[in-house]
Amino acid sequence: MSIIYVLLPIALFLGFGFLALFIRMSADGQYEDLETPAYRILIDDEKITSENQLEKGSIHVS
Amino acid sequence: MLTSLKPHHAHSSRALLCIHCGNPLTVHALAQTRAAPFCCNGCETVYHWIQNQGLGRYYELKSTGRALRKGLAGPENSDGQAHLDDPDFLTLYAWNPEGDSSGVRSMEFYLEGVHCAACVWLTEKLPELVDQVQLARLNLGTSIATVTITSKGSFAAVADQLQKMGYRVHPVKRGEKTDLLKKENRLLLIRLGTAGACAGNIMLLAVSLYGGASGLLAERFRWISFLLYLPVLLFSAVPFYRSAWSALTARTASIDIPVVFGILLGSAVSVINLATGHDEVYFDSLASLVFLLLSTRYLIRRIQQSAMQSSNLLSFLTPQRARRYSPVKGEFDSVPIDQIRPGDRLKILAGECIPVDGRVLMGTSSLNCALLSGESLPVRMTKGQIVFAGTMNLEAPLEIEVTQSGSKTRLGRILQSMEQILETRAPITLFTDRVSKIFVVAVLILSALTFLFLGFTQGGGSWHEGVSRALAIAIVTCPCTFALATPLVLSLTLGRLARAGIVVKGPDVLERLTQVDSVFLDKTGTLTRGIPTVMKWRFAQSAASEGTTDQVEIKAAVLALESQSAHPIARALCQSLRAEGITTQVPHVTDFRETLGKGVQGSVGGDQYQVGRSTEDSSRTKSAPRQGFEVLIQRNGKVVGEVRFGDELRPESAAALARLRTLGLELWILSGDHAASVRSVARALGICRKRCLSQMGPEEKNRVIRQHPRALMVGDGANDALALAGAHVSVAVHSGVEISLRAADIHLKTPGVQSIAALMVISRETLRVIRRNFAFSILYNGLAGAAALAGKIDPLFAAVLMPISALTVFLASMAGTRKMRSAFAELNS
Repeated sequence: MSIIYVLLPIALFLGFGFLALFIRMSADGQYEDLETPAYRILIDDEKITSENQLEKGSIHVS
Repeated sequence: MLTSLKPHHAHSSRALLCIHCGNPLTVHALAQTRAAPFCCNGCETVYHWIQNQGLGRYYELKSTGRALRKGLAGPENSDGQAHLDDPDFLTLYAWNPEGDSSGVRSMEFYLEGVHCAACVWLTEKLPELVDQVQLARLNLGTSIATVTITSKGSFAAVADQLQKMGYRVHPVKRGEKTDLLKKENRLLLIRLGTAGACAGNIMLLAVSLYGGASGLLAERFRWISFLLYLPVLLFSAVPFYRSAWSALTARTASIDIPVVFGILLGSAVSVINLATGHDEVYFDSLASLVFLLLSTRYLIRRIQQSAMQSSNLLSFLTPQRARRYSPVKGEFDSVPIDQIRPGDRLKILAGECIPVDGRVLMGTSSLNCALLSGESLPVRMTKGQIVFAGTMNLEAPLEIEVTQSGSKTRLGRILQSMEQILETRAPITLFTDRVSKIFVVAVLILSALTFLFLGFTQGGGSWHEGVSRALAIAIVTCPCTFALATPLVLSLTLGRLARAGIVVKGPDVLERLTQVDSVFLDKTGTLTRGIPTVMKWRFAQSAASEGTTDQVEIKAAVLALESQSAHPIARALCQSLRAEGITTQVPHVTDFRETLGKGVQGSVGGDQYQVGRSTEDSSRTKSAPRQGFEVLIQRNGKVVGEVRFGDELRPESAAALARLRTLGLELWILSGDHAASVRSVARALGICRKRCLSQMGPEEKNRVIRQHPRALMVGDGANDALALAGAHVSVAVHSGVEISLRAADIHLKTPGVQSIAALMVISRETLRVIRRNFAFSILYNGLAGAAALAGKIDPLFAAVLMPISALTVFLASMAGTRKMRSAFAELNS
């Protein structure tokens, strides 16, 4: 049973490692928007290319 | 919080939906010849713009995403957003996300019309579309986009672009209050996470203790449990200490008092037992108790805040800039609205909202005053007449002299007194609170009695026994089912309602809804569409006698003429004609001319046509009651026909009111409009004449509402705001008027009143589920309390019983009732 004295600290260390991560992310505000990321993942990072873009030049900051 | 993705085309079996905004198409829109189904010109414009930008993928994405049930605002006619780059404006609205001197700035925009995944994609393409934009992030839940630009960038360009995408753009002021809320939320979430992690680990250790661990190992496990419990006791449970303390100092009973009592006593006993080598430690039960209670608290908070946020983002009613005459330069300058003073001269273009109260100096136009007066049809304004802030100039430019600006305008004063009513509103003691309080007191007394009884009757030796039994009572009976069940049911219902497009501002609103005995409905915009619609055609003798071919010819000519005009009445006319099927042979128009305030004219197939307001209409005095107005059609100088316009009833109003009646509610109409039009609506809806109140100003509406203490007020305009604030419960129906959202308890994101009946049913059923949970709790607590009194409860028993009871309540709350489920199904269909 003495193996428990090795396993227990490891388990606790793992558990609280994740807790620390969770705290960091909460403090960053990652859990404030639970809805949008689920949609964002559906979106490809496809750039607007030169052939499918017609009027990009027209939008400039004056 | 996410439900499964619902394919957008699932609705198509019932009605054709607009390709752009996803709203169902009206009969009018269906009949129009367009390449693809659109509900309005606005959507069509935005659609083509998006395609031209190479952003066509928006529509692909859209078909995969769950469209939130919000209406999309059409593109707004606006003269740019130049004020967004004013240094004064930036200090209030923008901030530096990095906190350095690079000049990078961020600003938040509230976007009206945000729906689904496609909107996220479109908005987040901003960095590719506008120069110097670094990052754009959209939060779908709050409809707030955060945009970051470099020092050379311009927020005006960003807002302009967003507007072109079809959203209405409102910059959000950075308030300390919202920042504080954000921080509190994050802290609460961290407390919750910590409690969860600790409770989980303690539970693992507890399992082996219950499983028979003994000796040195058991003692070490108990000590580790204690160490793991410390963060829960000292950090996670702090909110309970605070609220129990404030309840104590305010001398009220709160559910948090027995919670804290249980936590403190339990911790004390467990620590003493730990130190003296006894077995009974309750760290696992206590930690999971804190975790469960914190989670419901967090849930409720999130839902409540999202409802509050949507109502706090307002004051978009009046424009932020105005054109002021500068005598030095001899021309009109665009200045921020807070620089306008009484006596200034302003120019208001057609299609603009009037920012101040004033007197017309020059020009004649018609104004949409529905926001303030509830009048459904445009009101004609000419030199010398008084105009109010918040009304919309429809036809021609006006020059006005400012008499009042800012908070001194009529609109501003309504807003102020609304705030006052909201502040002074007495809190209502809820059924759930009353029951909990009685229960709290009973548990405390019972625990104390047990302790004293055992301590005194059986000599000093039983103090330990007394403490542990009193504690068992406090832990086992108390809070779980009570503190958990009610908030859980309420937060479930509020969350489901929010997904169906009904935002309820607080859990107490549901209970107040069940007490309602009468419903007061605003007419314009609530029961009716609130926009002029074609009611009837009449033809002059000559055309009538020549039969239908001539009538069709006239209609075709009118369509040809009016389709060239952007005037709201012209658009309504075109829509109605296309709906009739007058689309095939639209003749060619030459010599087209549009005269502001007079109508359009042109030559069609050799005949000279003129379509415009009847001349008698403009001469009619404002006080004359009218249910509509006429547009005359002249051919070669002779009147050949007439079109009658009125405010059309929403098709679903009648059925919705019939359902409300079957729920036993008394129906009233409370309108600012003229008696004649109110009465015709009442007749169509079968509302008793005695219960029709017309020509009610904002203050009078509030007075009537005050005489009916259990009234539900349903309205949309600023003229309803006071009554909404004063009513027992109030519902703001979807519209462009955000002022009513601030005042109302409930906010419908769909137009019309059809969801109110389902809402009433849901509120009643929710209360029933809560009562059911109470009954269950009392039963369970009675049994557990008796067992605890008899000394039959030890830590293991408590640790098993607690989650079981919580689970039962949880499942019962999730299931709801049959009526409730069918009402939700109705809302989501």
